[in-house]
Amino acid sequence: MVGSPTAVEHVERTGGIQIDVPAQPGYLALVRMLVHTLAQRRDLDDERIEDLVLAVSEACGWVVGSRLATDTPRPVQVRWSESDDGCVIEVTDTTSRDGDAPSLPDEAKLPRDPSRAALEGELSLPLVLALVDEVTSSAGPNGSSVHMTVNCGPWDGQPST
Amino acid sequence: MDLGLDVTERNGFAVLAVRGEVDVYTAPRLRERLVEMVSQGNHQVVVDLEGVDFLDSTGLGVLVGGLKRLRSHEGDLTLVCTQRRILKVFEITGLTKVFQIFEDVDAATGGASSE
Repeated sequence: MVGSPTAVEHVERTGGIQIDVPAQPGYLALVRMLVHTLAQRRDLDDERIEDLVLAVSEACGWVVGSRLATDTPRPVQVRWSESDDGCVIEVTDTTSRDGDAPSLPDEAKLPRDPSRAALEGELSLPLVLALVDEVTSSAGPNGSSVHMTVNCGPWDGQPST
Repeated sequence: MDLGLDVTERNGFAVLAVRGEVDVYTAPRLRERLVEMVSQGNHQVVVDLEGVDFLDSTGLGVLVGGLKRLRSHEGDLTLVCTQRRILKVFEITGLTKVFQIFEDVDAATGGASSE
């Protein structure tokens, strides 16, 4: 379904789509392919599409990384929904039920020591915060989620300026 | 997912050309290759990112780890990258101040910075 007209048709018909992928590193490319395909239908230039793809991949990587130590089989849930003025991509860790929402800083801050941050795996969040228009988090019965919003209209056949 | 890792020698530098996507899944292979290169005595390393389609924070961590490892051997790791989308990842994270980034392999192995 991913990358095929079926996924696009589903979004065209319902305004969104949800996929559950195994929480394993090898599946991140599949998520990226889906996000890239769906984002191309919006009024986004190539750079913003790449930004969104990276942000979603990083957010999925948080869940995958947290699972590597626990070997929990539950999937990562990725939900794409769109309106006339934007898209929201929600990445949910389905093992985290009724827990606390992931804590997010108010704004993207450059790490004081980027080398150390890179070695300790702390560059992911600054990247996500810098790459999309809004990032929020929530927790509910399905798990804890990160919501990434990109402001954009539907593709009207004209390149973005 | 295919990750290409080809090593050549140029002007006394070991040039590692990376192709494909560097993410949580493939980054360990890049790390292993860099460790192997250092253990073989290659202490002046150029990582050519021109063939990279995607680079995430895990890949950044591997490159910084390689840089630290080489500097502990009195060596260095520099990058070749002109792709806007890849450079942007270094810019956002502040790593443009950590790595020397060149426009092509000739500049990286001849010492002429693109900046």
